Amino acid sequence: MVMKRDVVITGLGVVSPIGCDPMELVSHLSTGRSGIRLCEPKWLQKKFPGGVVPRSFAGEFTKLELPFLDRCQQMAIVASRQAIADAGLGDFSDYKQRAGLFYGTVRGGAETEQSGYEQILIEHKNARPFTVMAMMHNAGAAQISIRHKILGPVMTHSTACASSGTAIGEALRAVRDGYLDVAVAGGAEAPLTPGVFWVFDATRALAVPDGLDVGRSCRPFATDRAGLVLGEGAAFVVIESAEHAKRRGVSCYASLSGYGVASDAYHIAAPQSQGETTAMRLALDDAGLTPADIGYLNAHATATRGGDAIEAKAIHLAFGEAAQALPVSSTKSLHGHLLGATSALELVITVVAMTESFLPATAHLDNIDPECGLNHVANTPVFDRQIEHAMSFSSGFGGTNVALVISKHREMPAKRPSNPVLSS
Amino acid sequence: MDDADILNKIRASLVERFGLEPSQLAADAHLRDLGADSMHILEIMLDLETELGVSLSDLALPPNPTLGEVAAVISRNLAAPA
Repeated sequence: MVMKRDVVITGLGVVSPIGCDPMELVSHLSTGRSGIRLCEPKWLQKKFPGGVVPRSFAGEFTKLELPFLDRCQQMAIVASRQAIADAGLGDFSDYKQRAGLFYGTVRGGAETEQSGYEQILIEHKNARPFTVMAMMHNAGAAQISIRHKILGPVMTHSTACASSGTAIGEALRAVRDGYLDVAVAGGAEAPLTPGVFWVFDATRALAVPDGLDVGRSCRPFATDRAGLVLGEGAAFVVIESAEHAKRRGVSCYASLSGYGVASDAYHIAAPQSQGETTAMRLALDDAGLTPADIGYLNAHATATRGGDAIEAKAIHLAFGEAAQALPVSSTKSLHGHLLGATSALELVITVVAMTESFLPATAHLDNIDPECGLNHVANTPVFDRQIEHAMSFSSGFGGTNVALVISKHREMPAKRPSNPVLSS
Repeated sequence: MDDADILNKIRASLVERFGLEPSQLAADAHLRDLGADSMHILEIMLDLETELGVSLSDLALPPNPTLGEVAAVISRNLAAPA
């Protein structure tokens, strides 16, 4: 049997409703601080909860750059830059075609497209020359590759909520199979636009704002869960082979040890347990692990009535008896559903959970739905918990399911987010 | 409208829209040296179309043109018979 090349995570970058760097992420997760706020999209006469990144990124770019950059790409550039700098890298041109970028998004430049329709239909204006470049789904990937001179594969994945997960998984395979020395992988999404709220609202899957506290609107696994909450943000990892990292003299957060991908081939919107289970099992096999080895599972669980129950069943099928003891949480309770960026954000969360030895909680889980019986980390994180191996799972509309496994690295010095803020 | 007027309009747009420094915008300044590209100039040309009520039919520019060359192309379009 051929030994699989060890691939490690050497850089993290994040722009999210619960923090714009890994340290802020740890702080929000450990104190249960929600990033979900009230959104009042134009045109709709209706308010929605949304995972909001409460800042503009326009100031990071010149007026020459801005016309090309939807908020989606702005966040992609900022988060990837953070990850790349964290890995001690910057310009990849010396790698030639052995550096790659794998990116996931569902809507790309949604705000630009929204403005575009307003310009056609209401203002009767012509499009600007930049409009198509700011809208196109691969713009985020292209902008990152241009800025960092990534000359190998620059790939955009659009697998609904699994987009950045499949991007990261395929990046892992490219490095592990020897095609690439280093890859930047992740995703970005800026969906808090009237058009996106409008279409998701029509599926009756969106939560209404919680009457007492909008920050509590996303309640995965809860008896009173009321639907999903859209969120915006971007997250990236830098991965490379362990030998390559050692040659560079850098440490790693963890090994990216497993990837499983499986499709339901069932329904355009409804998930099915079997495809989810298969993705999780394949990821375990890929990592050479058994279910009992996993010390934490970051679930997809978007707080829809049907989806959470189907996923709970899938976890039981994948993990068997080990599901009784497997700690599970859905951090969407604090950040919402970042669509194409959600897998990447949740993988970064899983990484910092491992480095900081804590189990993030599913917030607002006062009453667990019996249909979703699992070993929930409910409401309060569990601190001082060593995690050797962890899994992050995502399941997309249309049926693509992806599971990623990370493992503590036994030899390389362990990297941690600098100056983490932990309260226990 | 002569070439100098057109050049001044281009300069004003580059300053106002794209934050360029007026002192950089000599007639012989190349677009690329200013950090601008054909998309930025196309945007300015489209604004001029709207402002002047004309259609600039021939927008072919040389590679990495100077601001003077851009003004000349626009001037040529304005002078062309309808």
